[in-house]
Amino acid sequence: MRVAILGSRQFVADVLRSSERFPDLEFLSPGVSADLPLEQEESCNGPSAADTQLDRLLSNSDANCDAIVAERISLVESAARVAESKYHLLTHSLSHVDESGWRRLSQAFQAAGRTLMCSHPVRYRPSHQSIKQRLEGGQLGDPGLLRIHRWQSNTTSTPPLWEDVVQELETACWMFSASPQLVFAKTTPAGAGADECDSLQLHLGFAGDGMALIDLNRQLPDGDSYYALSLIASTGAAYADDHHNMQLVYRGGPPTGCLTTESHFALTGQLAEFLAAISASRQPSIELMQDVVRTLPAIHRSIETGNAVKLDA
Amino acid sequence: MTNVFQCAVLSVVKHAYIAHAVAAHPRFELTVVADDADQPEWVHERNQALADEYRIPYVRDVQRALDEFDVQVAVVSSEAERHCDLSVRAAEAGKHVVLDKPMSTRLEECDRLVAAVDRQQVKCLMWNRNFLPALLHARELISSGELGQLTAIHVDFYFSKDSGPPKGTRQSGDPPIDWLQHQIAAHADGSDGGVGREAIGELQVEGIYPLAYVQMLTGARVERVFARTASHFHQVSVDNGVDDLASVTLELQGGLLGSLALGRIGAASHPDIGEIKLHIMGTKAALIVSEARPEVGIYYRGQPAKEFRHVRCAMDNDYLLMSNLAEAIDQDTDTILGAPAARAIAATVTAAIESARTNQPVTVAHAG
Repeated sequence: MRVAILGSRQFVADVLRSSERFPDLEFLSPGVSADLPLEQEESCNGPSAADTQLDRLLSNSDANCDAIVAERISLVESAARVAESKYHLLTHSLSHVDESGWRRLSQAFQAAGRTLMCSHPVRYRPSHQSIKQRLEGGQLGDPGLLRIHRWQSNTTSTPPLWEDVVQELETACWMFSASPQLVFAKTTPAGAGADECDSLQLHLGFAGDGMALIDLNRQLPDGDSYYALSLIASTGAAYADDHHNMQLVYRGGPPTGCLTTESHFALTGQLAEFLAAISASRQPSIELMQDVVRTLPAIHRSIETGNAVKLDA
Repeated sequence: MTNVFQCAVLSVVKHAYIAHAVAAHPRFELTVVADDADQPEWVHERNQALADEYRIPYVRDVQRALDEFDVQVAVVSSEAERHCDLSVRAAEAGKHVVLDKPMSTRLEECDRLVAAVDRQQVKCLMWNRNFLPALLHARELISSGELGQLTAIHVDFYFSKDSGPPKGTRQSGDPPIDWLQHQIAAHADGSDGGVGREAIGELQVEGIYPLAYVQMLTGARVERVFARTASHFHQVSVDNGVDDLASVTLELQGGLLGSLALGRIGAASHPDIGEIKLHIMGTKAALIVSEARPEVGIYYRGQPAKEFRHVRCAMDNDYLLMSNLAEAIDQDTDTILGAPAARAIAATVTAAIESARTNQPVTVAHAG
């Protein structure tokens, strides 16, 4: 199978690093090459790099690939063209998709007999996978309170904070195996919309008294990001926290904490799931993404009104 | 030579550790234990036990103890619903007050204590954990300006105690667990929660600790809250309709945003006392604090299953709290958590419980 990788140079490099684990596959990066003219650099590194590359690939009748792995696709229509062209698609982000758009898109892939997966690698971190396995195995009991802190600096290359919202909402729906029934969201600075805020705090209520507090923040000084997830369940709890995984470096003065990261495993795990889904003709993310996209408008509404928003069961 | 304050312990049914902490400080001495005569026998038994331990009298008449013993301080650790009433009586008698949590389950009672303390110009100290080493360190870093202006604060306050049988274990036909009887029985192994006739959830019992952290570190008042609560772990919580797990969004003065995650999550859910952490964001830097530090790991063959493997050390909270009270009395300053500040926390908790009931954010009813 030939897999085209679409996105920024960093994204392509990350996927290619993971590709070593899949020797039977051939990975292509049609949008990125070392001798690319400078004027085309934007198409390799800007936020819409994958969009531009996808347009080119779909216009090229000689594109010789079976599946596409894209960093971010902005338009549902572009994604729908992937189905029409009979490619499998894994995208980390699908901007501007609503509930009906997602339904149309997933139907298009099902009709074409191709696999669609829209998901961020975050939930494929080994720590998250371990927690989910224990949940599904019944060791932790019923999930009660999910807590996530995701802090980053706000640089030009950082994706919009809204993408973090979508990704961590996906994590929450995945952990609870359900969509929330109650949404309360706050931003800073106070009154800022979801597109221009420095931080967004999401407070969710799930059926059966489940709850989640998700803290997404872009106010860290330039440098490494921070991530923590804890899940308190009825017969056990799990704590996945960068704080626990810090090593210390002594250079004189106070020591510096350096994270031993697990995040590069996430992409490998996600690719493995995508390929397994293709082999089994599965659609691995349709219901989960449906839960996510039906919740997103409630977040906007809560920010605008200052009130909690109820969603129908 | 500084003077030593004589102290009356007014009921000690909940935490004898407060009376022990008072007695351990060189500026304070226990003189008498007292309670109302009409209290049930189990209350008298616990009071008598403390009196015997310190070889001091136990008087079944609070007013007489306050009038006839030359005490300057009252230490109140009764059932929750009597906290404020006993404290008000002590304050009206001109005694400084050390008060166990929660301040009260009713804001009117808190107001009565705030007024009495103010009228009699006595000091009040709500018991808290603000002098734990990690909290002092965080306060120092924030005061130094290293974080810049604070923009967000989040506290996890999960303590891993059990509370009787797990949720879902009551058999059909069994009566619901009686709250007070359960708490009385649980005292033996220290797993009692909100001791009293009235069932109270963990947000009311324990909320004072994390909210006191927020108050001390930010200096900002909580203006509005949104909360979710659940009886998630323990049958006694389910049977009595109180929470043992809660999440609260905090909207603070000056646009600060915060949150609180709290629960009595069960002994199986953490190897030690619990996951207690603070996440603090400032305009210049961010801080992540583990409240348990410093601690030492101790493991050995035959170690009892319930013994914590990580033991907190360099703990000076109790001593510093009592030093803080002594200093407040000596120099007529405020204590680290006085009556008005504790009332503000009680109002925040009250608003959170109302929010969880209504599924909408609620404005905190601050005094004045």
